[in-house]
Amino acid sequence: MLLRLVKSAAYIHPTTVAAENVPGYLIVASTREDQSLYIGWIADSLLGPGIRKWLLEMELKLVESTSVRATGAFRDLWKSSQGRSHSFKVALTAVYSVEFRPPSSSGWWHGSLIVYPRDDHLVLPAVFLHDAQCPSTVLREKILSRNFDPFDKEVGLHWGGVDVLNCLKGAAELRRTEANPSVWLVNPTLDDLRNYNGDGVVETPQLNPDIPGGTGESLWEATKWSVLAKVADFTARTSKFVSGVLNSGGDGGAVPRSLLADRVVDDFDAARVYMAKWSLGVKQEAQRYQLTNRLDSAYITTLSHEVGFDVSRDQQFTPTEMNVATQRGFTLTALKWRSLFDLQGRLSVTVGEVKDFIFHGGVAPEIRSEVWLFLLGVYPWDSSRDERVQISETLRQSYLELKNEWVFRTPESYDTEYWEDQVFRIEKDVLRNDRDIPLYKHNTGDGQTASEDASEDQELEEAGARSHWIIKNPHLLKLRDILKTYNVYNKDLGYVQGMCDLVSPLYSVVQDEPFAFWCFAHFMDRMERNFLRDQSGICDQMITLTELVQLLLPELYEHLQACDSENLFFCFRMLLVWFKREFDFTEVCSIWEVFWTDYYSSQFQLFFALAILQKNAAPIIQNLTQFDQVIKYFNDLQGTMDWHDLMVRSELLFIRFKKMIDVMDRKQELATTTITTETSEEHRAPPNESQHLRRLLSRDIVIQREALIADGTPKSDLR
Amino acid sequence: MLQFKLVLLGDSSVGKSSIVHRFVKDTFDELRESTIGAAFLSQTIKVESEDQQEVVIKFEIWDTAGQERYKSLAPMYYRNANAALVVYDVTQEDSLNKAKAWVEELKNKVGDEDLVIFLVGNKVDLCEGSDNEDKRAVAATLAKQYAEDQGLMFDEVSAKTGHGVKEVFQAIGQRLYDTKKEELATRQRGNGNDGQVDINVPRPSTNDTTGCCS
Repeated sequence: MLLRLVKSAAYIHPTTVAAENVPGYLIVASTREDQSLYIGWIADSLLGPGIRKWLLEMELKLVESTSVRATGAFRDLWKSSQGRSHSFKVALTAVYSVEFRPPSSSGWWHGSLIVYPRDDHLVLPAVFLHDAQCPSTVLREKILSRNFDPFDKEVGLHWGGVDVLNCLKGAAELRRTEANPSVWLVNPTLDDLRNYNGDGVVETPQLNPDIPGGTGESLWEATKWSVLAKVADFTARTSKFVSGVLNSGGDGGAVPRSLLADRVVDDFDAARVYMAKWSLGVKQEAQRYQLTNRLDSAYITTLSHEVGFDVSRDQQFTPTEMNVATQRGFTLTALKWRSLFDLQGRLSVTVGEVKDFIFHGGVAPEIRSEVWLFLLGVYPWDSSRDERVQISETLRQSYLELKNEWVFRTPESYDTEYWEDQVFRIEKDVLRNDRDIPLYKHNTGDGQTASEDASEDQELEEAGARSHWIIKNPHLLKLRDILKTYNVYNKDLGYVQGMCDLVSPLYSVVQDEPFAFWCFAHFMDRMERNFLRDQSGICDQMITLTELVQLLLPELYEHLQACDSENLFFCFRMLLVWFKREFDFTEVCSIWEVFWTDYYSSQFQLFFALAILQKNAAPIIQNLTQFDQVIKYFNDLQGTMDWHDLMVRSELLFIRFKKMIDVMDRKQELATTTITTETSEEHRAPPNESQHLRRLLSRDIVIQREALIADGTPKSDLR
Repeated sequence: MLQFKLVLLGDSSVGKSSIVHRFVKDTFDELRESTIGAAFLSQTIKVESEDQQEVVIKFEIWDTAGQERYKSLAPMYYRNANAALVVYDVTQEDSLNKAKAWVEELKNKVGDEDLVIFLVGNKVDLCEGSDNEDKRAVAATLAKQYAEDQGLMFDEVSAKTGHGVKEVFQAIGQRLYDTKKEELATRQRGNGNDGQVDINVPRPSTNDTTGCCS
């Protein structure tokens, strides 16, 4: 047993009479086996003089060190003291929250803490810390005042409770509740976090008055932005009007149409795209302002207005749905992640709860390399630590075997020409993959710059272009090997452009060749449909997206039809490599891990694409009239989009979609029970009958595999 | 203003995107990412009519992904094209074979007799200078002979240095203007327009119902 913290002069106050206070020790200890923490209090009267002396020594020792070993005598006492003279101990995993009440600055009352166990029936007494009599608190205060930094805003009043809090924080995730700042939740669930977070719609429907700068100023700012957004709308309409005049002038002869005028119209094409971008930019800026200044209600109003239901359909998002979608701040941290596993290293909460965390808050970068293995199915969610060790060994071994298949290939066993061609293609793509991120940037043996100045470029220049095409960067080499091994692993598919885009983020996070390979292989289970020779998998998705737009954004659909763009051709790249080219590298990691959860749908990427269309619908409808303008507009979106906002919209769009399908199902049920023979005027089947749309409600991934090589030769010709 | 649709075809990493970016933006990026799907860009040039008037030509350029796998998407891009730039890499012998296959496909699938096909050998900068002659894998004379046999326009360029790139588009523009001008003149007379060059070649529709996803 290890002692983590001792606080002497910790009193229980059974009555309000000071003379009846019971002195004792507040103790935080852990078992040596699994480091799980206990917090408890032991009455002074139960201790003999020897143990008392030893405890006081340990108390001071623990000011400088994190743990000391407990003596056998203490261990026995700790066990036997339970329930005697108010003594208690409780495992931290059984604690729901701890309330820390600081002492009054006047010294009128002592600081205290109350431990609230998860079991409601168990009520533990408040422990009062008499700081002035407590040697460790006095010592700590001395140390702090020696290092006192008057500009450190974090430093509040020091008291014994702060030491206790810091000790607990090292072992569990403690989160302060916004509703009551003195209460700290211990390893809170996502629902706890949501419930105790103060800025939901229900709690604060009005503008938050605590915004820095005061309400008046922020109101002005908010007004300014809404006015600007209106100006943007208006300008967009005006430009449409002006171009209308110019265009009609050509037909009616009112404006003599010369080459010059054509040039003007041509420039106006560009101006239209510019206008569309500008008006969206202003709106986005307004929204960013709302978010950074926590004008959540304004954001929520915008969302309900833009993504929400028609009034005529009389259905709105519930406050809970809005809250869940907009609160995306609870990241899965390392501490949280560890707290989700039991002693055997097996997940102790449901997979759904973990996925809820990841879907709504993402994964902290430092634990991605571990969490992604679960998300991608390399590790089963219900595996224990030991099982994972075994799985790892097996996977490393089988990767090596696969790799050896091509490393030690013989000309007889391989169609050399095909293989050489595949390798050539892989190398060409690896070399031009994500070369702007540090990991892959420098094509040198150690992946570092040759020297600080620009001599690298010069060196390349001098060495000529041939050496340019030799991969030297160790990470690029691993990407190449992974792709070559995948070629052996999935012989039917072969290398297809875009696959390099998919493996690159995986490798950059995992940075372990065999594991990155298995992540990629699992990822490809669902992505293979994007790379089929007949394009059937990607077509299915394009058709599904088209149907979604028809159903949820009918106005936009109509306008796209008028622009010859209703085939949504401009979404092809987005869907093919999951928005890899539209967003920044780290953003792509955040977006993909949300998709991998399959939280609502295994094809959530389609709702994300839908959100992009929804967000841009108004500028497109107001400004763009032709196919090439639409294409250009979407080309230019690269690197300008706010994925957080789009994810919120995606979620709401999904919820809206699901509700619409439910309503239609109910109506249909009613219809079939009452009237059986009613011929519909409409040719199109109702959306709830579309197999494409139905499939969106499933969380099972869609698997489509390449079966044959194009000309019908079976895959075996590789061997 | 005249508007023409131009499509770039050729094996992957022969430099299709680099040629377009050199022409449209006059920039070059050695490590340009592979093209996924296709990219759309536009650029205008001026050509001269017989009576020495300037005619503005706008190219709508479809830059396609080169890999064989995406071949089934190609008809969507070359359908209704007025010109095709078929690119190969002078240092990669096989890329000329791929280019030839594209020429075949264009001749078989595109009905337009007037389709201008321009065969372009890219990356000549790699084999400039006596030290680098061995890097050339396709002799210019060989490719030129093939182009002549097939009735294609031909040149070698370098997207990296910019050598010859502008001239290719200029030549295509001029050729398109020359072939279309009679058609245009007829139309002008029909319109009764007083000598103004006012023609819009029927706008190529990319809303192709025979395409991939319709």
